[in-house]
Amino acid sequence: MAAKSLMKGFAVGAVLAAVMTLGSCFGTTPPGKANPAPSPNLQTFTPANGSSSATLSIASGSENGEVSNAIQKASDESGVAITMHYMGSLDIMNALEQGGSSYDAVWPASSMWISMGDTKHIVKDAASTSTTPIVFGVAQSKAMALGWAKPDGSTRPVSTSEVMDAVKAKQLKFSMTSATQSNSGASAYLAFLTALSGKQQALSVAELNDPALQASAKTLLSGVDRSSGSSDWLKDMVVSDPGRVDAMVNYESLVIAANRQLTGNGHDPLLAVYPSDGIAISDSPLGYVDRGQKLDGAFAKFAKALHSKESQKLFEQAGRRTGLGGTLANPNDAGVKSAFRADWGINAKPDALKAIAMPSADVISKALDLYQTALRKPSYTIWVVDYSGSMGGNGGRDGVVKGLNAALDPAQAKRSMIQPAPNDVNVFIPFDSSPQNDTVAKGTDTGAILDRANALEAGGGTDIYSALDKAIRELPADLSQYTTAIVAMTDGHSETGSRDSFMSHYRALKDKPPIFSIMFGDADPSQLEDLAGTSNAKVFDGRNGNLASVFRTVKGYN
Amino acid sequence: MRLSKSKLIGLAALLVAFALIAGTLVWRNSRPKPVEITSVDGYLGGEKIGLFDDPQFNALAAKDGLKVDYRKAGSLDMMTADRKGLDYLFPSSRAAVDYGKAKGVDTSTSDIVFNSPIVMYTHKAVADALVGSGIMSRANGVYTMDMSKAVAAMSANKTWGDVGWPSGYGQFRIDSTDPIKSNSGNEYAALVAATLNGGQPATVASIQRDAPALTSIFGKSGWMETSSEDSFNQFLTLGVGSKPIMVGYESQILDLAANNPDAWKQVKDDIVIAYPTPTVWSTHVLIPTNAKGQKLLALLKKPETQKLAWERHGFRSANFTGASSITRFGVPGTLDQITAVAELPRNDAMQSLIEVLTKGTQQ
Repeated sequence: MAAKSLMKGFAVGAVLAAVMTLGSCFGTTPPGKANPAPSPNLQTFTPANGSSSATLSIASGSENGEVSNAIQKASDESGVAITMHYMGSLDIMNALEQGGSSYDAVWPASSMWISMGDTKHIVKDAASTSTTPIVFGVAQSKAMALGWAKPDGSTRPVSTSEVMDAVKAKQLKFSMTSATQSNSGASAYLAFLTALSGKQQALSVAELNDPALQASAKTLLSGVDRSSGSSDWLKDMVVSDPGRVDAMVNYESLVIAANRQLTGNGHDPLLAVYPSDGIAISDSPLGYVDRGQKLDGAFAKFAKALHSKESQKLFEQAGRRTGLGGTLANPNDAGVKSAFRADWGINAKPDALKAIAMPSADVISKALDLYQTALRKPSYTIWVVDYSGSMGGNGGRDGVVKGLNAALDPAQAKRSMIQPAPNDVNVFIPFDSSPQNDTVAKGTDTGAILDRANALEAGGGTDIYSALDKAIRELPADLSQYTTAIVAMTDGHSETGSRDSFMSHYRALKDKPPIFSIMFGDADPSQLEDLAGTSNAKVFDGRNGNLASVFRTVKGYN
Repeated sequence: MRLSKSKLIGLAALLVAFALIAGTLVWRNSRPKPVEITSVDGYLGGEKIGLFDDPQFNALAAKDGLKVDYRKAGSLDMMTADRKGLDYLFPSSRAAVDYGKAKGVDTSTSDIVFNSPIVMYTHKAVADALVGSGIMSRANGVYTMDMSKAVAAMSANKTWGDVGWPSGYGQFRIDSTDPIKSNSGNEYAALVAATLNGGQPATVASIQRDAPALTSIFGKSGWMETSSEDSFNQFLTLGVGSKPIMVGYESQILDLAANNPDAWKQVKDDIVIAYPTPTVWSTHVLIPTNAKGQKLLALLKKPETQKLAWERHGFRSANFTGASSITRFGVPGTLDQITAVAELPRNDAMQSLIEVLTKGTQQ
């Protein structure tokens, strides 16, 4: 099947993700408490009484970090310890196709990924844990200005073409996860296409090929100002820089989570706006992966506890719906009321959810391909890469070459659905104690960057700040045409002589691109965290794993 | 020859060890021999998982020395899947068995175990709206769907508003599992094909003639689950906006009412079961692939298993009735006797239907 082979290549290999996170598995966790994860991709839960009969390793969407109270409670009740491995829904599908990797259970955001990935028939007893629709969370002032909200915070249903018109009139920008990397982005994108087709039925290949529909989708997606590889991180990004973002496309439950943080810090909430002509719903199924490991008894105990009335109440307090038919099972609970607030635009009635008919697997895979190669907003990515002497001795230089190939070589990148499109721009700036000349690759031919990366030898000192200073001077004049990011990779402690001048130049920028960084070797985490904090970005840890997979993941964020 | 002290100790230890081993053997042989438990594993249509997971069923199996395991798979999918190391296939229709036979599965020892009619699940608001527009009727509390009217409305691309339910999004449609992979969708496709053929079982010729209509009707649904269990669960979970009408087996709602009273309580005032007129029988046939599979077949045919399967999971027996009245489940609008039943098409027509729908999804 065409869909299958295409989907196989999604995102980062789950096996690699598992290997990368192994290093942080062995910390001791106090009983009855969730370990606040040394690695953001891993979270462990041990039963309150301290002894567990078994441990289940679960491949889960990042959004389930928000229901850790319910997971902890179910772990307490069942006596089963849980290790959550957070990854994209598409990685979960990949893991299933490979026989389940080392996981005992899967918990993606939508059943779709299990149905498409379970070609070996190893998933058992999959059942929805909760539902949540994918909505627009719009800054209160913006929603009022657009006439989508009343002063009391309630919102009216807004059609997808109204959103498109607001984008066209430059009145609205929004952040959303990449459709090829994350379920919320994929679901929203499919809902946009279905709604914009105007046919009010499941999208077909013929409609997908319609130039008018493609033009509309492109216009709508031109409103994307920041992308992300993860729904949960998208929410974190919006919360940590309130006022920057007009809107985000995300799960209703993550709009609720964002609002708790925003209002707690004295900021205005985002108001939930429900598209009136097509909405996608996440059904968050948890299923056992039968690899012959005989943990089905432990799974059954944990799943039962997770579906108990008390656990389901915790789901609803975290902003998920657990009643049948998209309703709330505990509408009168105080904690649930504090989540589903009408003055945040939340409409808990199921008739607000005009669900689209999801397209068939073939159409989904073609639509995602089209997103990556033609319809998404072009990306402008500046790769600032350490070629200092130490990179030669620690495998860093070779890792970088592999990493750049994994992210930029069209054939390799296609397997992870991160391949370059005709209007993308990639800029390569190697540095040691000072930046070298840049190499610019426009479009899909990235050969010049890859050839140069391969030809360069490591040598010299490390000054990341002068290189970043060069990077921001390379930014295009009109950033609005692109989603822009700087990716800085280093293996050492940087000299700091040029830090202050770089920081002042960066702060003076009108549009500040995120500075993602890849930490390797003896890199100084505090220097990179400082850059991430200043630019509202994220540090990726390449110290334990394979750099190729980290470069791939980072590319998934822009 | 004299033995040294250490050698003596060694000899004594050896004797003690012998005594222990001998004693253990004697003790072991004196205990009653446990029943030899045989594990049996195979492909199972998802709608029968409730039965296979039922502790009472597992107890009956244990009495026969069986431990029953399964892998969930669509009825058609399992016929072409890797069967290595598996003892049985348990699809949900005779059509699937014929399909398997054509694909080289040895079906010579297969037998019918249960029956369950194909039904429509919908919500009260939708059902009453469709009664208003004549696509459904209600008599003595039982909802039925007129297949010829439903198919005509879908062929004419009527919207939900056109058929009396303006809150619906888009075109009037009936969702099912993937007819290429799973039985309930496949049988529903056969029913639609028969309806397009004026109520006569579809033939290769009629299917070729009606291919555009079939493609268009199934195209309305887009994404289709590969398991009837998953699609029923999504029908319950996602609500009326996502899945206004879903094809399923009668047994599914009976199973829910019997085994999940909390969930049943939440939905019982809203969920409606409607019998299509005509409907088709889903015939659950066990295909053993070896002697272990045959032991499972014998277990399933036992009267106490048949009684359990009806009373706790809603599967009618091979003769189309339950062992007691269907009213025992407390599900309103159900029928003891089902009279309007269509014949499934012959295997060549079924294959042709699958081909047409496979091509349809790629357009």
